[in-house]
Amino acid sequence: MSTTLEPYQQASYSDTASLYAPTGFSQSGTGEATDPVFSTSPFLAGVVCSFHSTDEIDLPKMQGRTKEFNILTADKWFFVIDTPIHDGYCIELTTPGHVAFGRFWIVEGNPKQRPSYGVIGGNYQKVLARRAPKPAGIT
Amino acid sequence: MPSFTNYWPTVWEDLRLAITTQWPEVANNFRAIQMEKLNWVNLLEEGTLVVPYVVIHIVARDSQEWGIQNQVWELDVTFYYINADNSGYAPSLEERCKTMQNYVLSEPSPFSSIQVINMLTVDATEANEVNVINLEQNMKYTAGAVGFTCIVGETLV
Repeated sequence: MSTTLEPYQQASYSDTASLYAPTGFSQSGTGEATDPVFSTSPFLAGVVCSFHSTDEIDLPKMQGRTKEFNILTADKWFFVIDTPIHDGYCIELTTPGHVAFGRFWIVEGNPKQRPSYGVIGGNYQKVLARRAPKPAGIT
Repeated sequence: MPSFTNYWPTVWEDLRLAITTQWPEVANNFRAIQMEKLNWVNLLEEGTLVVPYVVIHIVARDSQEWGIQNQVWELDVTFYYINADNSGYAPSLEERCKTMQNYVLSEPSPFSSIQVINMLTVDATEANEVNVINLEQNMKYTAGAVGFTCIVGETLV
């Protein structure tokens, strides 16, 4: 995988992440909802990226206060265009010294992609992701 | 002025006792108003809260007179049993709900302060209020709901 950064990305892509891909889902005998199953270790580690966290706005719900998830409140991750990142993937922030080091996010939806056309800009893809407790299966 | 016996705290004790005895795997149960002040996902992430947990929701209706000397309040109670989709816990949500249903309807009544007058719902579908939110927010959790109507009363002498 190429992780070639455009010159304008050199300074801002200062984060690293580990990526986990869902390997399928299980189905219980009673058909209850089940989570996607992740492999125990990342399929890619040390992936260069740029992490942008957002404000947390919570609203009262029956099960507890819940963070609103929309285009304004979703955390945003920028990866180089050829990074394999898709809907449902799990991201672990591994930037040394980051306050959220070791936390996990689940990607919501496929990435918005902007290839490089040989001019300044582009060469990136953006995914929205929801911070989540450590998914089962990941060690 | 007649003196009254204050049953209200024991109503909650009855409800919480039902949870601790019938759902021993549940570490925490909360009134809805408390959980609505706490970010549950953050608590789960920090390990302060673990699943399954239960939220007790009550709708208090207007009081009624039952005979000359009795005042009765009607309460719609719902227990929401909230579990992670990846919990690996074998019993199904319906099984856990059925266990509570049997307890609520058992004879003699296990409750000391309330009388159950109607079983409202056993619902682990996408329609209960917690699951509606879980689906809207794409949360990997599913809840079963057990609801019933009960009365608590006082004799005004």
